[in-house]
Amino acid sequence: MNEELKKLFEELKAEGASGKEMEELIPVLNKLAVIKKHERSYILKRKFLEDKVVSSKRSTFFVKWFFAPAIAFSLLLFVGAVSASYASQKSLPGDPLYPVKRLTEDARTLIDPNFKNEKIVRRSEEIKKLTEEKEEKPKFINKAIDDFRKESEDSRTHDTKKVQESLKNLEDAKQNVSGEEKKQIERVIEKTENNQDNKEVKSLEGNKNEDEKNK
Amino acid sequence: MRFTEEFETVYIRYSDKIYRYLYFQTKDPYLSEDITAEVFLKAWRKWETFKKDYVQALLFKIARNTLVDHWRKNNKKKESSLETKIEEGAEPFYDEDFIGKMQSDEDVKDVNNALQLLPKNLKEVAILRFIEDMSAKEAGEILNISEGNVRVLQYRALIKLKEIFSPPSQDLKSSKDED
Repeated sequence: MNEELKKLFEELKAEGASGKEMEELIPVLNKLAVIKKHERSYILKRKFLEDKVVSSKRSTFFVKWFFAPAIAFSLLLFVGAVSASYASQKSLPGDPLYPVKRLTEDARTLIDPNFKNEKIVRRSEEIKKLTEEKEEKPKFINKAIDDFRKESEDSRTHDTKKVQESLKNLEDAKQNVSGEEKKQIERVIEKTENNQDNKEVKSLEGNKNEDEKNK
Repeated sequence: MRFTEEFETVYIRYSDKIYRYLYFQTKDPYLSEDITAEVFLKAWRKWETFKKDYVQALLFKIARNTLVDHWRKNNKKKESSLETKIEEGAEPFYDEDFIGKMQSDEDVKDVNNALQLLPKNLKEVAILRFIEDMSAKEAGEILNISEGNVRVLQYRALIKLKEIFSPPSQDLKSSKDED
């Protein structure tokens, strides 16, 4: 009698089994034990391991060592880009982050074409701020004036309020400078006012024509 | 890779045991293979945190829980394996030759039929203790019962099985014939 069977008999005896009863249980135990004679195919076991387990290990390995750093890096890039664009919003021509500001403005204009009007105000604010700075930056002031001119020409549907705001900024800027820069700002103010007048005349004429048609 | 090799050894060693346990519970060779695959994939996902000196009991616990989940999902219809939805990627390979042997083997049929006549708790104890040769302690851990309880149940299970394999009425009949 092997050790395991001996142990089992001790357990059964403790539960009240008689010697005869235990003898009669041996065929039952043998019948149950014989079930283990069949085993699933070793080849299929290996196939399961290779196809399901090792491949899943590879994929988790890939996720762990390739995707995770890639995702982390992309996130860092994204956070960096968002922070840079946020920080750039207060920059002025000549600042390192100024190109980022212009880039985000262009992107925003693609989504919202009305943002062109806001760009004119921003350019005028930049001119004003540059003229307020103690450090003289004539090169950048000229560039800012040039940018304002381009933006105001580019914007076809001028928002009167925005134009007025820009003109006020330019008037303030004019007070801060003298010489050639002052003249340039005056010219830009004049041109902007003329454009605005023309726009208003055109819109009045357009309204008149529509009224006549309706009549 | 030692990590993978370790798991492979465990699969080769224990997958038949898990399969048999499931087969005698479900009577369905395909469903048993499905759940066996699921059990080992679950184990594989947690392999890093798996207690290696406790592996057999843990695998049986997973098998038992997965089976309970399956029955719950299928409104306790134990018969249908076709309705089983296997987790994606866990589709097993069926060993038709082995399934054929299990289904045609008279010994397997006898034991299977006898086990189906036992109450669930006796059946589980009989499978774990006398087919899979687990200790009373290990069986108790899997079934969430005490070692003493396993001993009581195993005795009852053996007595019942003895009665099923050689019914008392048959003994009486044969003794009458002898007279």
